[in-house]
Amino acid sequence: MHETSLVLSMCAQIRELAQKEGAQGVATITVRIGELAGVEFEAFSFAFEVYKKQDPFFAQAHLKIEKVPARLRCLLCGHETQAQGLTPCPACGQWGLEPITGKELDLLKVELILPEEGKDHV
Amino acid sequence: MCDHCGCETHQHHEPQEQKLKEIELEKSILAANEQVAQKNREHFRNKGIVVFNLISAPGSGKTSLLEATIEALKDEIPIAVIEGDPETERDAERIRAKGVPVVQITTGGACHLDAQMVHRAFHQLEGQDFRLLFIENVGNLVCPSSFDLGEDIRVVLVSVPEGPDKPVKYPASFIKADVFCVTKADLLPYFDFDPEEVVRNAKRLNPKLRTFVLSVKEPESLKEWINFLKEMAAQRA
Repeated sequence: MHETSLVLSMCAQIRELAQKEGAQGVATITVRIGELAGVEFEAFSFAFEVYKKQDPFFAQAHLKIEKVPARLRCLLCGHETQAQGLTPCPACGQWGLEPITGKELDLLKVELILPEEGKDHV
Repeated sequence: MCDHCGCETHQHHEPQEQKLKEIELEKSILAANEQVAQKNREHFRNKGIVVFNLISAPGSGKTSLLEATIEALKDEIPIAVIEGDPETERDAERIRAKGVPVVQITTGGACHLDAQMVHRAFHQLEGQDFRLLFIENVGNLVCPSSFDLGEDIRVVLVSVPEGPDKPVKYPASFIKADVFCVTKADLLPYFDFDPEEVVRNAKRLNPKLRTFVLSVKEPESLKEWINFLKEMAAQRA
């Protein structure tokens, strides 16, 4: 359940940024997580929902997860494939597929809620 | 005070058009951990220390392998150990009994170590002279693989009784490792575990893996591993 740690780390980063921007809340958070990142998407969403309930700054935040499929490249012939699981290269038949995508664990963008003009919110 | 969120005003809870600002970040979710890990790595390199992060399920024999490794190397290369466990000093006591400096991190239930914990533990080792540092992660084959600690070499271990399907079931841990050790090889006659097949599957996931099949009960089987550690220490010297 390290997804909880990931959510805490993500929210700490966003909070820091939001404070610099003078935001009063967070509307959307977009993350990109690869299939090979060792992260359970549902556990990540669940951990975020739990966190939201405890931190009013994130109460309105909506989490979007962009899932990245694993793409593998053959170390021998250079062929690229989206093959799943343990498999030899579909082009040359040799073993040695190396992941080129799928390990992502990135915070892509956030949409911050700024105070209404003229109504200074402290 | 507003009982919604503790702020001084209610205005922002009323329905209204929100003023939004989108910011592109493209940063790692674990950016904070990665920064500390990078500092750890530089710090270790400057001191000429080679650092290993040992990852496996509970009971794969990480501590036993460390005990045997210390026994084999202690007259040649000074070693220190950082132990990670949810609770207790038990593993640290076992290592301490071998006469090397050790710091126990108790995570209080957390399923992995992070770079900040290692940074703090490393400070407790200051003043000690060592060239190899082994960090024994919390027993868990999933979570620790997401957290860079600043190690040079990540070692993943699977013991024979755990079964041969671990690389296929837990690919993330193998994809991110540098070394794969099959442990408790003395039990091979009693289990349906073909070490060649397991190693082959692990290498299919990660062709760059360096692999060892060993048992602490059979000192001969440790030779290759011990030589590898000597090579690593010599490269950094």
